[in-house]
Amino acid sequence: MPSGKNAKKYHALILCCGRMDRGDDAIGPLCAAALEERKIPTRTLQGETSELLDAWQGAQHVIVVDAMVTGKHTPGTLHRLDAADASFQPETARCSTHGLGLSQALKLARVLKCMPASLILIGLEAGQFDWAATLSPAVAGAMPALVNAVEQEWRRIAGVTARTRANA
Amino acid sequence: MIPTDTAVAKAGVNTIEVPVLARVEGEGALFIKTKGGKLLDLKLKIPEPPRLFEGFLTGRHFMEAPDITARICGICPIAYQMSAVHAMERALGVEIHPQVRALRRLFYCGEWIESHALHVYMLHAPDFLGCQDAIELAGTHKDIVLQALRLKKLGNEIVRVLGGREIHPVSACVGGFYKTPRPEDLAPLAEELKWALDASLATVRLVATFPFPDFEADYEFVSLSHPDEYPLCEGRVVSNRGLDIDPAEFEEHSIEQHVRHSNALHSVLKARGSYHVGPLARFNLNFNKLPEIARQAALEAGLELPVRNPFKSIVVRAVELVFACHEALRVIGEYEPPPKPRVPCEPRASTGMAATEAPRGLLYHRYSIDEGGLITSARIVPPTAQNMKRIEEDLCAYVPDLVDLPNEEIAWKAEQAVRNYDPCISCATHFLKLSIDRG
Repeated sequence: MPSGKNAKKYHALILCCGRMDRGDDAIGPLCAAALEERKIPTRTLQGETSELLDAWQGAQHVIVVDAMVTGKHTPGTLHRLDAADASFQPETARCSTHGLGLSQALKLARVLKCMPASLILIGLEAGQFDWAATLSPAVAGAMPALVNAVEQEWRRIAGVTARTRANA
Repeated sequence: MIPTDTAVAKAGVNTIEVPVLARVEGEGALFIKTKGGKLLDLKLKIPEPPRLFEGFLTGRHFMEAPDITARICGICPIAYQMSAVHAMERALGVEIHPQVRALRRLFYCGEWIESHALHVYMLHAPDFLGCQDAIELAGTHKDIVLQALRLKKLGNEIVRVLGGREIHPVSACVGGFYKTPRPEDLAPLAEELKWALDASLATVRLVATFPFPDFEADYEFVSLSHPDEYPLCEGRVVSNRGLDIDPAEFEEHSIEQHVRHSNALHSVLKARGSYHVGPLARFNLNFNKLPEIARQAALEAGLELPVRNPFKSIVVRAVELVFACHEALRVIGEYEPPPKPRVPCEPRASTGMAATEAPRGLLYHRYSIDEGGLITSARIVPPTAQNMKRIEEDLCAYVPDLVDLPNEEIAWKAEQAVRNYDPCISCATHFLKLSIDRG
């Protein structure tokens, strides 16, 4: 049974969540495509709970890219959240497959003690998840910043990992 | 889901609204109105917009139907693919190779395992163990949740190996598969299935100990029935009240009604009214087709035929998990790759109907195609639409016993009664085609 595909192959596993046909939910797969062009490996997921838990199994450092809804920011706002921070309490969205999505995966991983050593969430505030819609203009305009932020995070973790190895 | 503060005590009328039902697929809402300890009104509202799949299938090539309909649902895409391919094959008079037929059963078992594992453990078990959800369950019953995740992963893996990917698989097609697996592709699945069979047996024993409300209803159960097999892809449509028809006759007996308060249609049997599809129906109508190991597990769990308590559907789903693991192992053990993954299908002007057993019940498809192979009409009757009226009737019978309880508790127990059906509301939400007779 393949498990945690690519989890151990790279210093940080980038999981891009979302669907192309649900408006701003497409930022995950679109970010993955842009990163692949920069030769940065990613994995695209729909964001279902067991899929996520399985994907990051065995990984030390994980970056999850997904659309986010805080309701407190304008669409396109760049978010970076550290899931290891106990004060971060993800709320459950109502649009995920069978009611179990990323927020439940994070909560379950905490309870089951199967969180990676670091898990950073990077995403954009979404404006809409309409069927068959494209990105909102503000979200589309923020895509380059998102891709750069994920690359920076990936390179930052690479630096941390390299220093850890050098000091070991 | 905690009810909102809309409960009002106006002229002794107590109104409870649960604006969003938790742990069911899609969006549903429940409206209950009582007065003086009596139930005045109850509605299961489906506000989710219609999906209109039947409309945009029209004009598409018949080979596209399995891939388009798979998109109706993220949790049961195989069911949609299987009903579509069988309906098309019946339209075109296509005979598939026995090993392709066996692979389709394995494919379907993968979906039953992932769907039933999700519902039994993550969505339904919390109701009986006093937990709000799977997260709370993970804190109190870690082993159960880990077992659920492993079973679900196995189901996903079976779907991935046969279908090319886990969600909305792409390999199934009219006539067979675009690509069939090699025996060595299936061997790792068999190893994990042996564990899963034991885990499923343990699941039956566990869920049989849950406390079940003392509630039974006099259902008309409807499911497929096959002479030799527990039904998945083929069979006649039968009931415990004498229905015994070919799937092609389904629309002569079952009609869909539009109700004002819901975007989901309500199916009824023309002759008798509401009916019940899903695990309870399959189990009650096909018990003798279950393998010995599943029959034995059911009897040891104290299930007595016919099971009329819908809350015990969790035990029946666990028994079906045993069946699905056993059946998957059987198919893998006997598998030899077919000479060709699929047989060619030449279009002709025709109509085909088929029904298969989705995890949550009978799923009927009908397609008409023209001589060029383009779909001219489509009809899809999902299991949740067939159960919708029955769910409301269960609630109408169950809620009067609860009216003295606090609102939150009534809402919580009523939600459990809805979850007995594992409703997939996204699938059930489509709309009537309007025709006007101006006589």
